[in-house]
Amino acid sequence: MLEFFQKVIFQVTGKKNVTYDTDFIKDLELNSFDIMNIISVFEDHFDITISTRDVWQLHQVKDAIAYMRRLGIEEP
Amino acid sequence: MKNEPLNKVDYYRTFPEFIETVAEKYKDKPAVSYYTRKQEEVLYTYGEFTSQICDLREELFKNGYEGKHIAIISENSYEWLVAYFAIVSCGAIAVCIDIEQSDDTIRQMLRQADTDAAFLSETFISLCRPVLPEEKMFSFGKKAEGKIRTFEELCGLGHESRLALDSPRTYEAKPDQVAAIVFTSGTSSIAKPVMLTHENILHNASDCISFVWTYDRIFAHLPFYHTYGMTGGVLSTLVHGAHSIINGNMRTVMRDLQLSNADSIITVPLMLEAIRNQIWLTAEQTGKTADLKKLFKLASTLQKVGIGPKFKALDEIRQKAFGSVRNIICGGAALDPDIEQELGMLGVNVFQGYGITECSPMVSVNRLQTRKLGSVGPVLPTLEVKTVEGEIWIKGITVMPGYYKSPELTAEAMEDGWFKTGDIGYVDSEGFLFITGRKKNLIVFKNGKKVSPEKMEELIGRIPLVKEVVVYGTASGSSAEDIKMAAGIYPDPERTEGMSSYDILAKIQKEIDEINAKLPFYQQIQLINIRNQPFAKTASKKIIRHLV
Repeated sequence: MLEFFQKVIFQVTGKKNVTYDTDFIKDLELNSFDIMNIISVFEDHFDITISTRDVWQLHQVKDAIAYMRRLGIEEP
Repeated sequence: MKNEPLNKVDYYRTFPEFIETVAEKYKDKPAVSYYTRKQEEVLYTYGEFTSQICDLREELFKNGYEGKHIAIISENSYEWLVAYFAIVSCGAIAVCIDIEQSDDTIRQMLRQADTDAAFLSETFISLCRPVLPEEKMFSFGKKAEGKIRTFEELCGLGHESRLALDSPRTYEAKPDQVAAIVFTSGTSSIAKPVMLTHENILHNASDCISFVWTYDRIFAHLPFYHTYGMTGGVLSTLVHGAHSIINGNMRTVMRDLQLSNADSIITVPLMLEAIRNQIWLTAEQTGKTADLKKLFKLASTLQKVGIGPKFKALDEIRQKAFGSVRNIICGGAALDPDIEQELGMLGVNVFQGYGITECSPMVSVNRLQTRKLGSVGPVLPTLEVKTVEGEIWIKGITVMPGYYKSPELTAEAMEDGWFKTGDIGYVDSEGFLFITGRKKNLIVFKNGKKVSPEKMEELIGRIPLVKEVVVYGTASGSSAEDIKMAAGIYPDPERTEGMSSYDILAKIQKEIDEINAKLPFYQQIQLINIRNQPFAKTASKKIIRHLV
């Protein structure tokens, strides 16, 4: 799953060196537009809908992976 | 200033008059459309759109909602617009709720505006339960539980009632009657409820078009619950019978912009910066950064000597980034002049403007031939502007009558009909308005959102370990909305006795993370600065903010 995150983040923002502990805002310096574009790729790929209020709570890559697992998604 | 003529446009004084006129005048023309997740366009003509508004309005009227306050709590949607127009044209007041606020703030806004009922998307039903009974909630969802009724049910009932009427009901409103209550960030922790009249809103929508023509297809993606998104984005399109292509989701905004085949877009600097960044990212990923830089440099040099060059490569970039868009109206926050110039070289006209909710909101905007880089344009013809000790004051037909149930706030902000904007600036000898700073203590983000530091300070101040706190915006390279929200904190020496600095920071950080999780990204505190000393204060024990 981490590799999938790395691929999507690079495609959307050009940012590299993404790890489980990477913080979307503090480390990658993404704005809400970038974050929503990343979410959009996930929604399309997994055919899910992620509520915007849930997105506010996903700070680090590991939070997002845990969230995906809660939705029953283990692997891309 | 050049004598550029104003565009011809109809002016309306009340929403019932507006609905009645556009329903007839533009009957078969496309009014509103949006794209589904599967990229299919759903389109409504003026006839269909206004007919549904009339159905819903009849149902609201029949149930005694004339004069009542009805909130709309939802992301942008076709239903949002129908509900808004039905509310305001039946003589009720639309309470426009910013859904990016925390649950508590939304409930506070509903109470503050004396909300009687609400249209809402399913996500917000549980949030509203402590404030409104089920029978006063109207869901935009397909199904509803208990006594909650759906938008579709109400429209259906209203349609039947209309058919049963002997003659169509006449709706009337006064131009100076309040049509909407919209919230704006105040300098206190509580948002200020701005009252806007029928004429305030409608006049401003027509003024926008008289200044900048947006052609036939206009892409509206900014939140309708802000006046810029509603008056500037949608209403200014409908007053001249054009087609509003709406988007309610930042996730699909780029996709829909491409699909929309729009002539114009009403937006904020954040969106333009994101598109610019994407252009450079694509160049980098395809190894064409150096070529693009050369091309921009060449285009810039030629422009300086008065040659407007046509480069196929730049045309292709424009097409890929903006589709068919030629005109961009940008407001809400300051746009980097470099971006404005770069987009200009791509062949897109960027019109930087300025507005404020209390003025419905547009105050000034650059025009096709009357424009100046770095300025927010000439002031709309129906408004007067003056500066008092550097602060911009505005007077005219689109200025609000006041804040709802807040005579003290109103008296503070208004003087002899002049609204004190809190923005610092000047008007040059040619009549162009320039904004140079803010008098009010607000942090302005590139997405046009404004946050009062006091609001965040109140939240952080509730953390037991915190004795004093000052929240401020600090410029950062390219973080969330380019401004980083930072908190300077003086911990309570009694409560932190025996704790290491690391422990104090870790505990406070944990609590701030919990606060952040309830807030949109741009409002989240990203930097904590722990101090050993209390903040410097005035004689009245108020923290001296500019020394932080």
